[in-house]
Amino acid sequence: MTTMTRRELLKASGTAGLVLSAPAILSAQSKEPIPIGTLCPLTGAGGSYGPDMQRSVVAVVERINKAGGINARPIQLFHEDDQTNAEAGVRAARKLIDVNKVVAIVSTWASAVTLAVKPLCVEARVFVIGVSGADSVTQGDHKGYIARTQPNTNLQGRMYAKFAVSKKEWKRVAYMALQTPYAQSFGDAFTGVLKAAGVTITDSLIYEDKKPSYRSEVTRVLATNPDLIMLEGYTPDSVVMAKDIYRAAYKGAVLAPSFAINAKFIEGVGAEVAEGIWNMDRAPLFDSPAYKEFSAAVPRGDQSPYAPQAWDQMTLVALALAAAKGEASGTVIKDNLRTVSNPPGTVVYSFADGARLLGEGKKINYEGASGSCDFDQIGDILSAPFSVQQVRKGKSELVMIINP
Amino acid sequence: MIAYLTAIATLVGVRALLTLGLNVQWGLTGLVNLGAVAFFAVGAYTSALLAVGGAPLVFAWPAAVGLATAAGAGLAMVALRLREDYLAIVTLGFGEVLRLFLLNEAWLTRGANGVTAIPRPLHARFAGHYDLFYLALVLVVVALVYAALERLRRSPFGRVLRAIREDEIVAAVAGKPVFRFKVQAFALGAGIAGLAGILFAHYLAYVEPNMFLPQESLFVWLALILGGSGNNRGALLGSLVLLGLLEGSRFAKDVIPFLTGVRLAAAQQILVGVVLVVLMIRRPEGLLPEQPGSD
Repeated sequence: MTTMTRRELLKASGTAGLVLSAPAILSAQSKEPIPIGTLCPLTGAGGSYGPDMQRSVVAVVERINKAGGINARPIQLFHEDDQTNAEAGVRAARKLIDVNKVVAIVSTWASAVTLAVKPLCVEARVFVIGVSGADSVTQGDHKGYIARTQPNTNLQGRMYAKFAVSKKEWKRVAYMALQTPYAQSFGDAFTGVLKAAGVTITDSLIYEDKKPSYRSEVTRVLATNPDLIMLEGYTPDSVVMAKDIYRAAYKGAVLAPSFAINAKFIEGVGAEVAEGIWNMDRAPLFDSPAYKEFSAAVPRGDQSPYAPQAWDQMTLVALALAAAKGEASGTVIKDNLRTVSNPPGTVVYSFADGARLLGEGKKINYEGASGSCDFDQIGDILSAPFSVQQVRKGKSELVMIINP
Repeated sequence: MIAYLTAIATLVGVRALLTLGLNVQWGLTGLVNLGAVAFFAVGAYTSALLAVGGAPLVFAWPAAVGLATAAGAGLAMVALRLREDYLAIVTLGFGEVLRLFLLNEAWLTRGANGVTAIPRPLHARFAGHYDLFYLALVLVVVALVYAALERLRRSPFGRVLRAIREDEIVAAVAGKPVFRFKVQAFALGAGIAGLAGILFAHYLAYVEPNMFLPQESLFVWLALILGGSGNNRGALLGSLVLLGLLEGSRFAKDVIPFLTGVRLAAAQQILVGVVLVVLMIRRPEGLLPEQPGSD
């Protein structure tokens, strides 16, 4: 009796597996479209950023395909969820590479995921472009198959420091950071610039995620009497931290990344606690035609700084493929990325314009929604403007743009 | 497709080892270990750090298994005076303490950055079809561990473990040193988890602390309960079915058109959950229940 049901179960699950995988096998065999994968976090810690990034990529591809595709070949997208988890990311990447035969994976988010999929993508000659910040992402021998549109932590740290130095009243600064791959290197760059400018670093503290209260951390830092607390974290821990700082009757200023001080943060702490918090992030080029096209196509996209980057990543991959005219592969993308993104060349803001000029045999220089998108040899972004915002009456308002 | 299936089979093999390890502890001896991932992490990190530091793998691998076993024995000595719920809490806590150690003691573990560029054994020799070689390696290890554990289960040692599981007072009255047996079983399970960690680290060539979150331990439990605890074949099947569900649902979303974006990801998890619940209702003992008197 039990053996019968077991066999039936095995048969049923086997058949189900075959039926489910059949369409994927078929689609992998069709030659005409160029397969490209997305590996955004739809669940897990990055779950609030991934959907917007994916939406951006889809919007770009719709435009490209409507405009006739890349050298008359349409793009076919395959979406996978990395679950903000390195091992799940590897399984998803293997499926994209081996089953869907993608030539590029765009819009990875967590540094851990990018680092985990890096070796297998380099080996399979698949191009990866993401927003991961950790310095180790672009280090090591990756043969050019890795690039990112997010400034590395060193550049970020220096930009935050540049703003902090410009505020003359901040003479004593404390650094508090969530334990992440970039907490240390960001802090080193940030405090380094400040010290050189004569600002006192009163304390430097790395704290754990998911604590119900940060009273002891806040007490320690406030005892050093800072004028500014640089709070480098994500939204959930920043909510707890901001409340504890407020309760401790701190009178100085707080500076934090905008991806932490978002609408959810303000809702979580209330407008009173959030009032006056400074926040910075890589600024989209608000005046750029590419940004205008992006914000029209992706209405909710301007809520996170990653969505415009995803837009640019997909456009860059498509332009690099268009520049090659021949076969579509990861190698073609990495060989042509800097040809279409860096000067010299006619500045273009969209795939359609870029592809037309490439067709006429001209050089192009793509300027995107997220910035000028110029890459150095290891795949890091060369420079990026940053926006400074401040929470006023329950809303983050743009105060200024800082250029490197 | 072959390369993809190879990758999934390799990860199934790693999970199967973890499940076999837990089966020694829970399935045979009845010890609740909610910190299986801790010994997985000890194995992975020890081997990774030694190998990156230049130690040959013939030294790094036994050292990693040894340290995982020692960690298991050490925890067992302290914690096995406790039973059931209390033991569960201590092992769960141990897993988190270890993860936080890996995250914060950057001088030793490289902290949140993780360990990158872990050397892959014999990579140059099998350059063309390395993944197939690695899968073969994993399968050989799984087969050896499985054969050894089957022998162990049928041996007098295995019978004592099962006697302890059923009623440790009876085993003690029969003159068995219950505590010593429990420590040995716990350490053995931990060593196997460490072995799984080694294979995992050198396969991914990258480890970082957040790969070892508490939910990974729960996945091991899911696989064991699904397959049938107490039965080594059940442990293997459970790992296969669990990863099969996680991966199979991936293809469902390429077919069903109205599922988009976040909905896909949520549907994937709902599907896995539903199948697990149904299986538990239909087959509460697992897919392959332990056969009474099968020694």
